[in-house]
Amino acid sequence: MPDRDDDLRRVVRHAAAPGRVPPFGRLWAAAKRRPATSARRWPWIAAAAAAAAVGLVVLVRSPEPPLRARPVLPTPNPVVVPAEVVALTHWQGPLDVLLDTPGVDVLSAGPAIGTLPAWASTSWMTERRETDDEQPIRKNN
Amino acid sequence: MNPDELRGALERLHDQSFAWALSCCAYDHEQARDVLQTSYLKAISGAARYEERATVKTWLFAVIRNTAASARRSRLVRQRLLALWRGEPQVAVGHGPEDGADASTGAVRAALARLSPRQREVLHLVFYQDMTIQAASEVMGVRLGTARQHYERGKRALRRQLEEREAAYA
Repeated sequence: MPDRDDDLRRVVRHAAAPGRVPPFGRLWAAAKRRPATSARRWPWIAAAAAAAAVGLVVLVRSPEPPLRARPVLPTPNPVVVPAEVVALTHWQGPLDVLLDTPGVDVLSAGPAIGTLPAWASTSWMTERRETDDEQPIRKNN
Repeated sequence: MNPDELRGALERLHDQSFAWALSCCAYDHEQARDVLQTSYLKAISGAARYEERATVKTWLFAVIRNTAASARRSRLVRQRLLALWRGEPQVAVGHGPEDGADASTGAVRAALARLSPRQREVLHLVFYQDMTIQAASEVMGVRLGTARQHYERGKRALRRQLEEREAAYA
């Protein structure tokens, strides 16, 4: 009994026939000459790994990582003082001259132990001290 | 199996292997030659090892099928990247050159090409390579029931297409 798929089988066999087939010896020899795929990929893999390593070293050793965006710091604005304010700070009252009296520095400075203040180094103070020194000598004589 | 025995077995199967590679590569002779050469290379280098769990033919055909699938994926990625780089629309991956096939052969190949890859494979293995559906399922890496389903559906689809073509010419 003929196979009911015989027609299909015949059609497929006819269509699938390869026609000319390359000789086995040629393909076999070419395959033996050809390095394996993994062997062909090795140089590329090694080169990619080396490039990645160099990139990593550059990233790690650079003072500022180039890939990271540097933060933009706001530049401080210079303080602008209005001219009116400047004028007020330099203002002098018309009667300020009356406050500048002789010996005003005595009121503003504290006493210092062991040193004479500037106002004390006058000639009459020195003379008076010499007189006091001389008095006991006179008594002994 | 030592290397000389393996070489002898592959040589005996060479014509059938090329026909199978051709079917896996949509009848593109250039690609089929490259796929078969790569399959031989896998056998030589030990990347594909025959462990005598199936016949040499079943093992070799599975290697050829996997190699062709891998090559097809690589080609597809390359073509898409190239198209993307050139700013062209996506390239439709069609079927290769018919390599001097006559009109009737070309029509049957076109009809086969319209089947799903599994249907096409099982029909080739059973009809052209005279394999059982069991052996075909081992080559394709699917269960026997699945292979049988592809076989039946493939036959129906191919028959319908050929009848439609005859009706169009009549």
